[in-house]
Amino acid sequence: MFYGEQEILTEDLPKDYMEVNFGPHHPSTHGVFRFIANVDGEKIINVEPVIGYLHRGIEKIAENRTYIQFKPLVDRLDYTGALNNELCYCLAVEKLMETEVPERAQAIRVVCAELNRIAAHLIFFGAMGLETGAFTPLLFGFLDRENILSMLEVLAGGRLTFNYITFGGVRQDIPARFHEKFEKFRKIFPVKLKRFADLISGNEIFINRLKNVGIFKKEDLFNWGASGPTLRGSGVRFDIRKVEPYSGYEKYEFDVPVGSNGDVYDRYLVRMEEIRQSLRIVEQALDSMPSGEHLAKVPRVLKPPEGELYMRNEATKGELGFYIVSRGEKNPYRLKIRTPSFSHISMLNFVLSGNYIADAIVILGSFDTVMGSCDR
Amino acid sequence: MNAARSRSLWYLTFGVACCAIEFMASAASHYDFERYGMFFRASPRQADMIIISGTITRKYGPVVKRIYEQMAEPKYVVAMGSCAISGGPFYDSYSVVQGIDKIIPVDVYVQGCPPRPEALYMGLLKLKDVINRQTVVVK
Amino acid sequence: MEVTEYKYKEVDNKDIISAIEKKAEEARIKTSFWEFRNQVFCEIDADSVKKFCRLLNSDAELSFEYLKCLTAVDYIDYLEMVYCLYSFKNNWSINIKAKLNAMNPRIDSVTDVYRGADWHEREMAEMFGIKIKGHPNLKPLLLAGDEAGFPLRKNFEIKWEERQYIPPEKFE
Repeated sequence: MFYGEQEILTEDLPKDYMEVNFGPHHPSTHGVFRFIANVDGEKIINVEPVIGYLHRGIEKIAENRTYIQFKPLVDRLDYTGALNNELCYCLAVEKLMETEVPERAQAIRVVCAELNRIAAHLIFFGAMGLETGAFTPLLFGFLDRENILSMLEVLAGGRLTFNYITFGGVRQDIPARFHEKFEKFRKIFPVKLKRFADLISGNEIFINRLKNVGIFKKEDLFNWGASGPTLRGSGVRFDIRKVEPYSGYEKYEFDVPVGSNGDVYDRYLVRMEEIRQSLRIVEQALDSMPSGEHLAKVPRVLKPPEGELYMRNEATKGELGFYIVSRGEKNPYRLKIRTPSFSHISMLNFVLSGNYIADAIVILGSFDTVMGSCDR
Repeated sequence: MNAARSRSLWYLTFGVACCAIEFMASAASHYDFERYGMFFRASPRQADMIIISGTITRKYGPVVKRIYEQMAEPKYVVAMGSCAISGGPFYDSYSVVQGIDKIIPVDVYVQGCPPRPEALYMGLLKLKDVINRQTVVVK
Repeated sequence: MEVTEYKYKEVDNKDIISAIEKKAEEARIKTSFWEFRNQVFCEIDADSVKKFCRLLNSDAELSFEYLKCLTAVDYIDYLEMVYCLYSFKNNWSINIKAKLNAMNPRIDSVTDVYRGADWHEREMAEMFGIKIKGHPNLKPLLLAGDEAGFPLRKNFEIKWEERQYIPPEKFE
């Protein structure tokens, strides 16, 4: 209280909550997502997220396509890390058909999936900078992503959507140019990561924006169905690659980073550390690549036996799951896709109430959602 | 005058789906848009060009129409990716608009799923040709 | 906060089945189990779904605290709701199925037990037309609002045809 200042009692003034619409078109990398916030000044009272602007009806399309015709559409779910989606779908169908995947194919799948995880986390890194108002991390992220995409282009044939992992293995073997490019990448990338750490992770303004903002507790997260780095930032060392290993992950040594506070900064650091661990896995997989075939013999027209199952995978954002019901026909009878972004955005009202608007944008960024994955 | 318009097209940040990531990659440092004079503006009132990148659904159609109407003349539309041209791989879905040209008029179509940055550049250079050939018609 | 670790644990499906059967008998819920591709499936009545989920969630030994997936399948004579649950403590997974009437599908909401089921149930309600009792907010979530029927049912056919764009009326 300064000398001469009068205290205005705001409880006497009539006030009402203002409804603010963060519309479906807004300058952020999260896609078409709208939320209507009831705001009291700067504090958010409650939030109603509106989704469905990118609902393409993929689950209904699946009933009209054969299994192999549907596979390119699975890439477009979480388009930042597309190979992980394909991996989950192929694992689900292979489990239904009980086919064995050769070991070389499993190792190549691990290499693809982890490289794509690094690429997706670099987009998160760029978007996080954009949430706090910095433009440089976005350019840094996309620049380093170009190196990875050029490697994946030599290996898988595409930059963003690949259609590379197929039932029984992968479509082509590793060419020699991939190894040359990877040797160069392996030397440069840790230097770049250190630069990110010094410039951005250690930046005082960045830390003040992100620390102690948006703290999640463990019990709430279990109940809401959160998974992936969102769960790991709150002190739960749970990774599907360790607990239910698939595609040969049990052979590789890697750590699972965990945060201790549960705030946005911890989730950011978890993802940055996951980039290092992914690079470690790729190096181990390429150094110890077994010889053999890259594709098992799978019938041309796939008709899995009758039955249903649920298969899950550690995709870049969390737990991606496919529930496939098959009736012995060429088309799946019902294909349900459980995406991590859908569960995370459903928590938004619970998480954002009581925060300031600027913090709300940062918390939404820390969820790292992709609307193609949420709306399907 | 056409030379001035074609060399400084300010585009609206309009990322919808997967093509948006490729669009952002071509606007970032490796393939740079700014050397062509294109800079992003967040508000439709200040933008000349809109690049529709991604699948447009029936729920999102009115939003696109409203944004297009808010832009000031002269305005140009680029349909990027096969979803914006004709519905793309989701053409038989119940909720996908089969091409953005059912809602707003399109100047340039760029094919691909998603189109490579080089393909997007080809499309934008064609847009510059279109602008350079424009004449003022006295009605 | 302290870090809780979850490491790889061997899972024997017989333990899951025997533990749940004992608890279900005490609560007098009829269950029938079977295994397919090393996953445990359990079929119960639609009326006892909420009670069963609450039992599995709150029991200290079973502790199925995580709802992995909530979906519905349209077999034309009947509808079926599927709940996939997971227990972090024991690394146990189970898929629960409940049959619903095709003409008038009704089921209780499990939102009190698993809060993450909120949006999954909203999606199932608008896609299949299932009436979910006790759900806090059952507005349409993903759809534009003027589809004729429920999209994921089998009698909603989609075929390729050149369509004109008619904007949805309910969009404000």
